[in-house]
Amino acid sequence: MEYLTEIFASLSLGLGVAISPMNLGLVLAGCLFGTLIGALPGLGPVNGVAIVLPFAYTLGLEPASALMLLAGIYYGAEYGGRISSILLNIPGDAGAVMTAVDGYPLAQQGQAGRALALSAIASFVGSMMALVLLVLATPILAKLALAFGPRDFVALLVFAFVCLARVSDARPAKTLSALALGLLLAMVGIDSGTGLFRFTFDLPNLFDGVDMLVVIIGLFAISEMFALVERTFESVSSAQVTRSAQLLLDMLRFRWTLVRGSLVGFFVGLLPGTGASIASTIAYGVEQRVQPATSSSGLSPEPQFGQGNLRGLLAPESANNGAAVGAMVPMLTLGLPGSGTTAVMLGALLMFNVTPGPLLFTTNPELAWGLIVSMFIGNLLLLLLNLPLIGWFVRLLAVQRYLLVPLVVMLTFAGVYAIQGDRFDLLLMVGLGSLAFGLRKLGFPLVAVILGFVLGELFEVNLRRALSISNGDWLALWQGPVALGFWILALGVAGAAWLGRPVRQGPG
Amino acid sequence: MTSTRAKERLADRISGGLLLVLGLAVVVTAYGFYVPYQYEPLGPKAMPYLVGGILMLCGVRLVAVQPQRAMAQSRAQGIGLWWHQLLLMALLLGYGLAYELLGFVVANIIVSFGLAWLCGARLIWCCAVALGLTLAGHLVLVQVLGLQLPAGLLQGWL
Repeated sequence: MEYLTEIFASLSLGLGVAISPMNLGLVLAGCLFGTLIGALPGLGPVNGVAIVLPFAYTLGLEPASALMLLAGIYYGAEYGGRISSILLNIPGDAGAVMTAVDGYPLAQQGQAGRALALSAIASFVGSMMALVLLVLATPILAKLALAFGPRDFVALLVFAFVCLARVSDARPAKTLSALALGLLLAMVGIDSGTGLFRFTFDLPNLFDGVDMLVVIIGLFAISEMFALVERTFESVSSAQVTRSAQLLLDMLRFRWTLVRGSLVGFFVGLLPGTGASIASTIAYGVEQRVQPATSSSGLSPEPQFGQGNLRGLLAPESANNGAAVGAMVPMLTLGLPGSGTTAVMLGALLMFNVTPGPLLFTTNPELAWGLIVSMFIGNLLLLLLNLPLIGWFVRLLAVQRYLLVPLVVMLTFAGVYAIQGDRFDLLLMVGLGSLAFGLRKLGFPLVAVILGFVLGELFEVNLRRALSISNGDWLALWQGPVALGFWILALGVAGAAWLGRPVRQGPG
Repeated sequence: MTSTRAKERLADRISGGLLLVLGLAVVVTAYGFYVPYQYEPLGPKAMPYLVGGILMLCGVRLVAVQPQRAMAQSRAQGIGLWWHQLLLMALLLGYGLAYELLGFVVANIIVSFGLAWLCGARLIWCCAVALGLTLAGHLVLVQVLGLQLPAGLLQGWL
């Protein structure tokens, strides 16, 4: 009871921050921009956050306001990703791949309106359920994490890295080397312990290290331009968006699908480096296994999975939104991102001189709880926007590539240049973007690079502290219940080959 | 299918070789770090050694071990329109180099035109995108948001 009272007090504190006109406007702008970015084929939440981040920084927004804007883009893009999946069979982002499997056949059967409306509600339910879980779990995790020492953080980070290597689609050797590349980038600059210049090649621009923003935009915006130039996609000439009177009935009929999808999404999102794409794939698989299409509800025969099954649409859609919220929990409580986009948001927090982690809830509760409340408001806004304005978003899908590419390039160059006024950053950004595109082509996951980069310093600092405390005794890293627990978990995940991997099905 | 797997295998071997070289370079560079004194047991060399070691191990594995089945993201995707990529890289590097010299407006008109053309737009649309986008960009980014972007050739005019 006392715990709940404490939570309500925190939520009212957050409400006070989130409902200021400025912050409400930013949340709305983030949601709109996020939906648009998510809907555009090729661009996803991480690209949206990367493009807007320099402007949020340059315009001198308060950290809480900036984070609300970025979070709005994040979950807005999870809503938007479904639009092009359903209408074009082109997932707007990786999290929406599974949405296309049953969403597109539904659209082909003339049920685009029903699919879009139902998936918007599924996204809303997924987010809201995950948010309630986040509110309940976050304070406990933050309190537990307060007791973490350096060796516990080292073990936790090793666990995160192992999770990333095991759950990623790519070969573990590729994921690990991508992670190592991120760690290498994080080492560039003056070593904080000794003042030594590491990997700076005598370039003064690198003495302070590689700018977080340059890395983020290079990896996720510039490399995407290379992909966009290569890719061809058709634009939507007309979309038959109709309303369905069966909406409420459908939601009641598939309520357990939504609950399952949301829970799978939230808990998968908690794991470091997983994110929406894996969550939606698992939720789809769970739905197939729990209730095969042929033996379903008994109300009416439903289509096979992959041929316009509504459960196949709702499960991944609620899961990818649940995962987007779930990924926020480790970011806020442990300073450990649960997905690529939260890794970028973690970078944003560091840029604004806010240290994420357990202390955030005691030193900066307005920011933490303001963000959480803003996510409730944002998801409500998104539902209200997505039902009546769906036709407007659909029309935006017709944006031509020859407008999109120059627009994103202009915004990213202006954003990065405005931070330090140095063209070296622009050239480094292009270099990193080209390298990132090459890595993508060769099957190296970029999310591992950004996680390595963002967590590299944290890992090294904590390793050094832990060994200083133990006078260089490496065995001390395995002592203590928390550290030992994470090491065992890491070993368990690393050795869990028998669990197998979910089989991925491409759209169409 | 076989040729796709063979290409994928070759790509893995090449990237593995590059990682091996990079890892070795990291370790050798770290070995050369001169540290006159340090206050803690780990020092600045350990992390580069660890990272270099991981890179080398992964490189060896990619060169030597063939995956039993194709992984979702490592399917050979082909180089596609490789000259498009090269042109794009040249345009972006040129944009970065010319950003201060020519200024945001002039550089953006040229690069937007080039990018639109690269994306297959007709000449009239290339001109429209270049001019329209730059005008809108200047109004929103410089006039409204107040970003400090270089005026370059148009110094004194804007």
